[in-house]
Amino acid sequence: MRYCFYIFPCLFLVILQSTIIPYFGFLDNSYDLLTPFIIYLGLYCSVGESLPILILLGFIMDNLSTGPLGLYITAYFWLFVGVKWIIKFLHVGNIFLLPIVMVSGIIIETSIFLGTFATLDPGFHISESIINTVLSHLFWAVCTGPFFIIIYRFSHKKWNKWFHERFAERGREYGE
Amino acid sequence: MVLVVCGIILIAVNIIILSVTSKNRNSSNSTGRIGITLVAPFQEVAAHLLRFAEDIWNQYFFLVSVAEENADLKRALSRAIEKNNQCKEISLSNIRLRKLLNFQKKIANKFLSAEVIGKDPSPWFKSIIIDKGQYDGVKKGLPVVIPEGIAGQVIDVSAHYSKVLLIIDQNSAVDVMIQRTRARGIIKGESKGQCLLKYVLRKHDIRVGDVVVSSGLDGVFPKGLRVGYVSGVIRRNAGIFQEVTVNPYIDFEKLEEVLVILNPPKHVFVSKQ
Repeated sequence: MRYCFYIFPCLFLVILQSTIIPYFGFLDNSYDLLTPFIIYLGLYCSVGESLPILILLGFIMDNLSTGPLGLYITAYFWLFVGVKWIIKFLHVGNIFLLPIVMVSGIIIETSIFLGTFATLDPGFHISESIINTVLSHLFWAVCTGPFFIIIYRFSHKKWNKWFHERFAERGREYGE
Repeated sequence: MVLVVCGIILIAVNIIILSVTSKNRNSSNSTGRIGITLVAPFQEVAAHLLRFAEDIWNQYFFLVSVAEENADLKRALSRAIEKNNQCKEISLSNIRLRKLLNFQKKIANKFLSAEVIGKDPSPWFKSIIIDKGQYDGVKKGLPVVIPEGIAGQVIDVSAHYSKVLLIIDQNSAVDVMIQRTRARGIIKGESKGQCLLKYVLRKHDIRVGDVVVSSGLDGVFPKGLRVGYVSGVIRRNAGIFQEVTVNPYIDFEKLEEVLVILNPPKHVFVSKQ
């Protein structure tokens, strides 16, 4: 039941990214919307709770994308590890630091993607359009990413509260 | 120290897995279809809802420019009728000449129309998901086109959905030729929706605006399908090839419906005794 909180937003984000956003052409150059979610998992959730979710998410994204199988799992795993490492130095409660975490996250993910392309394709080179795409991703990530993280945190708290209240009530009913 | 060693081992294993999966990308595997089977129904519902909303907007609220558009369409129709008549004449003369030369009759293509229900979630890859799969007769490797030109090739098929690699993807390659000069090359996807025409010898005269069509030699796409037009030619002092940039005729951002060719040409190499 606890995983429902993760699965439904993830499914919504995948649909949003692969079907709804491409429909509106002007938003086509947006960044991977699952990145803030993975960063959220890294910032506020435990490893045991997050790992199955990020592997499932990575697997679904790998299936939908034409990249080599395992690329998204790799990217999300190292992004998660990177965030867990970053929070050793940053105070996660401070929302003004979220843009920095977002930028770091996008840089980690992009580096993994570009690094994989460079390893697998000897003819790969970083062109001007790739630099423009990365800059555009960073811009959108700084502008919108922190809000996504705040919304996830707020919804997660509300969900947990509702979930505990509901089950505590049931527990009391059964106890009586 | 242990953590560093574990990290290095993990990275090495990761690189090995990625290189293995990237090499086996074209081989059929069922694991790759699980995600499509799980997510595609939701994508289909979302795509239908979006189209329904767009239809309502276009049919009931956005009627201001319809009269003007109607007049434009009538003019375009009269031009098309005239052109159609010319094409019929050319087609008839083509049949006569083929008979004279004893050419084999081309087999008419069988098409299956499909709707685009999703696009690649990654900005680094260019593919689409269509709402037709194995049960509809779609197989891996079939060419996908639209009236404007070549769209791509089916690379993965599940029961009711398929994944199509677009020609603008960096992993795509199509054997093509310049319609005017018949110079051959391989068209490969490049970022920003453009393509690169590779391996075109410097001696060939290629100009901006030249039409690029499929050569049919790759055994995937029928010969003569439009791909794009030349948008840039760079001839360096050194090297045996020239750099040719091609703009596809298809606007891949607005791709909504496609046609899958169910009976593409097959090259059977049989030695005559």
